[in-house]
Amino acid sequence: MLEAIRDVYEETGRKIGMKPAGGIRHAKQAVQYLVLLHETLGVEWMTPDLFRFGASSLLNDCLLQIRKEKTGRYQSPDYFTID
Amino acid sequence: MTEIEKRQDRSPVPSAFDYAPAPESRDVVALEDRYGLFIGGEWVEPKSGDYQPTISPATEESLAEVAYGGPEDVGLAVESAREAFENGWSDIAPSERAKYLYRIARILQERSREFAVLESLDGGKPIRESRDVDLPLSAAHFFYYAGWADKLEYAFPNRKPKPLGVAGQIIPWNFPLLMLSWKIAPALAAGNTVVLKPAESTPLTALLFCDVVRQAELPPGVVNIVTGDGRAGAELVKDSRVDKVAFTGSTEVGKEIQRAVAGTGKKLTLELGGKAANIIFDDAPLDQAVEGIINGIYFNQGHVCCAGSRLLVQESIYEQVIAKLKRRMGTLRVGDPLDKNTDIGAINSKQQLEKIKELVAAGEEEGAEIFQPPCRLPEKGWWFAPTVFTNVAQSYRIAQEEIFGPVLSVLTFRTPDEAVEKANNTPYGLSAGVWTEKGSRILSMSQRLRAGVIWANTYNRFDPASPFGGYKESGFGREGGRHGLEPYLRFE
Repeated sequence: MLEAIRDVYEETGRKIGMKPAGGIRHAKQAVQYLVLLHETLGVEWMTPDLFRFGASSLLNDCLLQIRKEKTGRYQSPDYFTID
Repeated sequence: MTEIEKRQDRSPVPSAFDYAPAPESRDVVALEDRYGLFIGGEWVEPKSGDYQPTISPATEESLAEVAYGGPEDVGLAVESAREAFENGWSDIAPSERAKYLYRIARILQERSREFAVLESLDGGKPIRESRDVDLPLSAAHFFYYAGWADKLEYAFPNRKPKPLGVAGQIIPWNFPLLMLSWKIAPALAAGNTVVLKPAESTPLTALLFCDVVRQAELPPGVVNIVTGDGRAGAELVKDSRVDKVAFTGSTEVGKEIQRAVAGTGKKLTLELGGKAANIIFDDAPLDQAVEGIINGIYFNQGHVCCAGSRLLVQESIYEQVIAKLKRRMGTLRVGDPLDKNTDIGAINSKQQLEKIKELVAAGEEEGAEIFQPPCRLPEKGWWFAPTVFTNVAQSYRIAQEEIFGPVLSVLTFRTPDEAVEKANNTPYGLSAGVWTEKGSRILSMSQRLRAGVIWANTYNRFDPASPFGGYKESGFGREGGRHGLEPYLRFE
């Protein structure tokens, strides 16, 4: 799909955004998507105007990971409603 | 416009998205300072007394000292192989032989990380490739031929297959462990014993393999490893007690070997150079094809005998393919082979780098247009940026000679006939790639291209069950599959 966006941009000059959703539950998966985006469309697309995640459970995992980065410890998933 | 929308309107574009280095740890590999020769299941000092350092191409540091075997050492190794063949190995039950091979395969899998890191250290190939290609394929080869060991009668019905005796095997530096597996697995499965000489610039994984041989409790003398340079190889080819010679490497040396074994009755297989055509038709899925082109030529820094080094693009899609290709090349990362993000590692040796530079200079001089994406090469070590030449005529050296580096020459064609003619216009005939959506076109191309391996809508894909080998100056004999057993057997 990112390649299709690239083709459209090259033919028409229109920048189309992408919002992947479904199955993206972990921060790690989100990073993988960001790398895909960067490799295919470059940094220009790395803005909320053109790329967003439509995945609600991802937020909780991101919060958990951010807290871990800050404190060095993983908190209980209960605090972040991770199933 | 609401407040939130205003804020979104200003959302910044990051200036760059850099990846942190992700180097694989070197600690999994324990190197000795000095390695002797592996003869008769023991480490022995070379009679020649000669040791030379083996160098990491990414850092130019010396990793270890390795023995350079002389004529006497090669003689001892062949003697030990002959003895192992006569006293036991050829008589044990084939199912027992299979067990040894299965054991080696499993040990390779278990120790794959160690081997992958060492392969990248000594040879300069990206860890992503040694981890995901070299090691799984090496183990797969042993597993595959372990399966054949007790089924030789079924592989060649009514032909009474018997082992030959001692196989002398000489392997190149581009896939050190994988080539070792391609050679040793079928030889042992067929009931032969081997003396193997690894390439002088990449002996370390072969020496670590000796450890696997011991761990698998293979009878002493069944596998002997003699390190050294071309002189040791020449001795091995010359030795009259060797029944079979298998060589993978340059066409030049292959011709010498063929001259040396002429009239001796030794069986010979040669897997030599190539200048493969990667043919892109206008109905091919272009983004996938571009990935295939990249994989075809920049895999293992182009140090691949079946590399798709001549790109043949149909004229109607030429501009598009070149634009896509150049953009994709811009995202290739050249650098530390041990970094998991690296796409292109170090050039294997200084000599090879000189050769690549010479041919690239010749290409520029002859009038081809060069493109290299902007990339910073490390200061130490031997590196070459991914390169593509357009405006190439068929007569140019870069379109005729094997470069064995990350250098691609682009030619165009209009009709399938022209594609076949251009693709076959080479002294080599090892491999080719065809990219098209039409199955019938794939089939007709595969019948008309003079190449041993033809990939359709993919490139550089290997499997132990599939035979691999060339036509013309790319050599003869097949490795892999049932065909790979035949050169190691005699029939009554």
